[in-house]
Amino acid sequence: MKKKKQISPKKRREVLTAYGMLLPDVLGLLVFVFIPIVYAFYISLHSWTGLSDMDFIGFGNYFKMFKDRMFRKSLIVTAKYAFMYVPCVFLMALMMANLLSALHKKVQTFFRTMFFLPYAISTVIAGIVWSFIYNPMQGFLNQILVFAGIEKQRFLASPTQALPSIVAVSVWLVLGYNTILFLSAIKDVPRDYYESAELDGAGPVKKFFSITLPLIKETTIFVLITCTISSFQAFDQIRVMTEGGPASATTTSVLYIYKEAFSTYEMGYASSLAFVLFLLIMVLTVLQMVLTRKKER
Amino acid sequence: MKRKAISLLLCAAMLVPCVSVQAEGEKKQLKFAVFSENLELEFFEDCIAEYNELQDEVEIVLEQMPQDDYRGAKLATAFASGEGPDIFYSYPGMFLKYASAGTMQSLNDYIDPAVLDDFLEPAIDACTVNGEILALPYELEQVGLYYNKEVLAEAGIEPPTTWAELYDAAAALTTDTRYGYTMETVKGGHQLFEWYPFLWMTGNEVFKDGKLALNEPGVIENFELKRKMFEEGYANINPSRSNTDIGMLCEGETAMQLMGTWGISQIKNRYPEMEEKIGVVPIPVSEGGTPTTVAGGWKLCANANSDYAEEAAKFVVWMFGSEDNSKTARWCTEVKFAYSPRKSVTADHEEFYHEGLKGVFTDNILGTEIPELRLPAEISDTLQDLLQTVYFDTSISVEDAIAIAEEEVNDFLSTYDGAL
Repeated sequence: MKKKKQISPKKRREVLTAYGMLLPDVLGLLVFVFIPIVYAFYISLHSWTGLSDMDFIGFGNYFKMFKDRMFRKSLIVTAKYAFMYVPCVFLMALMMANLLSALHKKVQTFFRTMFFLPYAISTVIAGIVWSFIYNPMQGFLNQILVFAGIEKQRFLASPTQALPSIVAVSVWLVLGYNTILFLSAIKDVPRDYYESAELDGAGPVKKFFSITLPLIKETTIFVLITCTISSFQAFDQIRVMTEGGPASATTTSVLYIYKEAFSTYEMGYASSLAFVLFLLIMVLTVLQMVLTRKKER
Repeated sequence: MKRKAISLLLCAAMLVPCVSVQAEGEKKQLKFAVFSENLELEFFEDCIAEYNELQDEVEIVLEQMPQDDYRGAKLATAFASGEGPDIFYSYPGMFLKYASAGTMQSLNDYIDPAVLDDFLEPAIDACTVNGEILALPYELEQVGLYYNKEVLAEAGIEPPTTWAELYDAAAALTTDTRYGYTMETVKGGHQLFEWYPFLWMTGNEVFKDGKLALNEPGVIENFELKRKMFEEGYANINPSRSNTDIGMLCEGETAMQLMGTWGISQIKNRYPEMEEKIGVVPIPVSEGGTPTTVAGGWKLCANANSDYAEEAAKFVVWMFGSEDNSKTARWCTEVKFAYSPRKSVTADHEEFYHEGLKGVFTDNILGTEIPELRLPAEISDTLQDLLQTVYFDTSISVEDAIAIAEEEVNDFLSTYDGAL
């Protein structure tokens, strides 16, 4: 007979304490994350306006979205947003962090604070302020353009310019935060590596691609994943600046889901859309992680 | 032991606020959700105070929220979680969804038939589903074209009366710092509300033989006119605020503005210095069309799923459906300028309805109105998308945009068996 493994009372107390410490977090996740996800899936299987009883329709809502022209359009808008937003944030933050790391500490602190400031502003307030800046008739940006001899632009009032204009604001908001993430990662790279590379005759570009970039891979993965997720969740600034217009040119999937739930009162359908978006983000995140890990190996 | 006792006591103390027991003899508390502010809020507060004074068993409590939340997430989630207010107001855009879900208490048993005769028939029809009166209207708001008299006079332009004149005036009045004409640009119920008169004046309707039928010359002409005005920058492409605010005209952002009757109260309360400088005319008419405006407005309802549905219905009727019409009169003549759905109020305040700009509405616009449509949210949403496309998306022709909307709405109607 196998002898039962003995755990000392001290060890047991430690284990109990550890689980006790974890319990509030686990409960929080369960109540505020996992149960709502399961409940959202449950609602998605029903026709429900939120005002009357739920009517079970199986996967009817999921079939409906294949025919939904506006949902398809919102996915395209979201993809466009992500394709503009993620590379912009990633490349600009990386570039700025690299430049800042070469500066004197005091100058670096000044610029770091300057770049980080927008991150401290509420997205809604930033959206309102930028709406004034983008105003086609009397906005500050158009005044500069006119001064420079360039024709006035419509920005948020144009179906082609509205999305890039919003992306620019979103990038402006988070650039400082991501720059600081990269800057901390770059600071952790041992100086000896650069010195050795310099002795071997490596220039700044070679050093960046051969030393900096490989050694900040974890941060790179983190920034890419969080940027991708946030690009799929963009809502506040769009709601404030364009409310999805003009002509749905800035209606991202999240905004579309919100409107389906609270303007059209299609709670069941909105839940199915939310669930699909959740799966989409999950797949993209896993894919990103797998691809970056593969490269690492 | 002592420590345990203290802990238990603390836990019990923390639980006390969570347990609410309605003591015997305590009044039934009814929540009345509003988004009103200033004079409007004051009106509701006064009415509630008066009503509470009269009641031994019921107490009405105001619950204020921003209008965005009222039309959006907050009210909807409150109803979805069974925490909806006992009394609330609705507009045509949300009426059918709430009515179809059985959220609105029938008022038939509470309203005196003699008082019912005092209401304009179309106003009551707009609140009735299958013979059940589900809400009481307390205002009728109509739309006209407001303009800055000085700006038009300086340009030597007469207020436009036709679509062609509207286009020419907007073009002539547009400068580097001012748009010629402003209407709603944001997708939503208000954009639809402003569009209806332009549809109706061409002799067309939203539906023909139970199907969406907008592929008509008059409708297309109107869409193309507005598209052109936006494209050429004569219509305000990026209004600084919602087109429910007369501020854009009074502050010089635009020379002409499509606006409801409520604009007159806004001028009086916020821009008194502009009272003499602003004029109003009926909405310009299509070639050979009939002068038309739209009549909208909010209605008061009782929550049928409330524990106190009966008490809520009684309050709604006391507010706007009792023999005493003073509350409707105060709302339409003191709190704001609106026409009353009750004939007696209009008759009692003839002089008021002929003062200044109100007289223009009364003499030239009143009588041309058609009640705002109460559409299922799905149809309303498709029409709102259509307006956005025809106004702003020049990559698609107006005819194609209409065809897409018709296909979607008619597909929806083929399985829809609710009220229209």
